[in-house]
Order: sequence, then C-alpha cells, then structure tokens
Amino acid sequence: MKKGVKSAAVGVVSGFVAGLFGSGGGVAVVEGLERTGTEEKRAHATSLAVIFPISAVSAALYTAGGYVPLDSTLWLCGGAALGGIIGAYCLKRVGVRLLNNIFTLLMLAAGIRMLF
Amino acid sequence: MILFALLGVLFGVVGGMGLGGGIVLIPALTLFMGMTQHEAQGMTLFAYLPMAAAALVSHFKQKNVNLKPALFLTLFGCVGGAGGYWLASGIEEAPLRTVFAVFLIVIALLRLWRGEIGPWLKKRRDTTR
Repeated sequence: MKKGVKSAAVGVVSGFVAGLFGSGGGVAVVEGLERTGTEEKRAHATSLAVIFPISAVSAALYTAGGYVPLDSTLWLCGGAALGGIIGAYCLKRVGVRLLNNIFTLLMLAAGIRMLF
Repeated sequence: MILFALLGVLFGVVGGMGLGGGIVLIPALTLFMGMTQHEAQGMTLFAYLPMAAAALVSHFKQKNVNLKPALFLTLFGCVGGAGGYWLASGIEEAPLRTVFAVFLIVIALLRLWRGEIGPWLKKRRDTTR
C-alpha cells in the first residue's frame, strides 16, 4: 500500500513537471524507479513508456491551448525522428561521458542566459 | 523551416543517446528561434514523440519495460501532466521562463554532482584514507 502511494506520487510529480515545463518528467520517473530497486536499464525503458503517453496528452493540451505552431513543429518532429535514429546509432561509437558533460554545461549556460 | 528541422535533428541525436534532449531544445527555441516559452514547451513535447516511439519499440522488443508499474505511473502521470499544463497556461511568459531557467540550472548542477563531482570527492576520500 505504502509503495503504491509513493509510486502514485512519483507519477503525479513527473507528469506535473512534464506538463509545466514541456520536458524533464523522465528524470523523476527514473529516480523513483531506481529507488524502488529497478535496475538502471529497465528504469530508463520503463520511464520512456511512461513519459511517452504523458507527453502525448500534454502535447494535445498545448495544441488545444493554441501554443503549437503547426508548420515549424512538423519540421521539428521530422528532424527529431531522423536525429533519434542517428543518436541511437552513434551511441555505440562515441564517448558518452564527454558528450554528457558538454551537454550539462550547455544546460547550465542556457539556464543562466534565460534568467537575464 | 530548415532551421527547425536542423534543431530537430540535433535534439534527436542527443535524445536518442539517452542524454535527455528536450531540456535544451526549449532554450534553443526561445533564444535562437524567437518562440515564446509556451510555444517552445508545446513544440518540444511534440518533437519528443517520434524520437521516443522509435526507442520504445526496441525496448518493448527486448522486454526491458516493466509493464505494471509503467501503466500505474502513466495513469497518475497524465493527471499530473494536465495539472502542470493548467498551471503553465495560467502563468505569464516571463515568470514561466524564469521558473524554467531555475529548473534547468538545478538539473544541470544535479547532473554534474552525480556524474563528476560526487564520484571525484568519493575517490579523493578513498585515496586519502
């Protein structure tokens, strides 16, 4: 029972983050799953299965709210699909740690830039 | 339009490698493409779908997904998602942007701590002991 409540809370929080910020919900799900003893790979896969429908629902809500410009979004999605394939392919070849660190610094820089 | 596609490719590559691309796609869209914070968030949610779908198919095939907790989390997650959208649509552009920026910085620091600083400190402690 207690585990169920915790799990429900993880679901609501990650959904809330995804809906509020349009991204970042996966972090909460992975965190929650790993804490309940799910191994990393399964936690990532499961979080993807959770965030996908949440994103779809949130995306529909944003569209209904008139926040989604159709044309540019379609181009963006096409690019993302192609990039996803390239990314998965590169995963086996490139040093992920360095990339991960560059990426993190980029996040930090973007965050600071957005504050001012 | 080509620029949007290029951004999409970049985001897809980062996301496809499992590094979490959405969180940088939003500032890229607002800072370089002149989208509003709300628009950038809505667009990023969409861009996530095709990329995640491809990865999901392969995870399902490899049976990596824990189905029962996934369904449970999804149910509550969608409620949370609606709540998050409700709040986001209720606040103005500027405060939403600020809150998002703080969120971005916190996540970045957390990643640095997890990936680099934490392990480095631990290693130092272990070698000096």
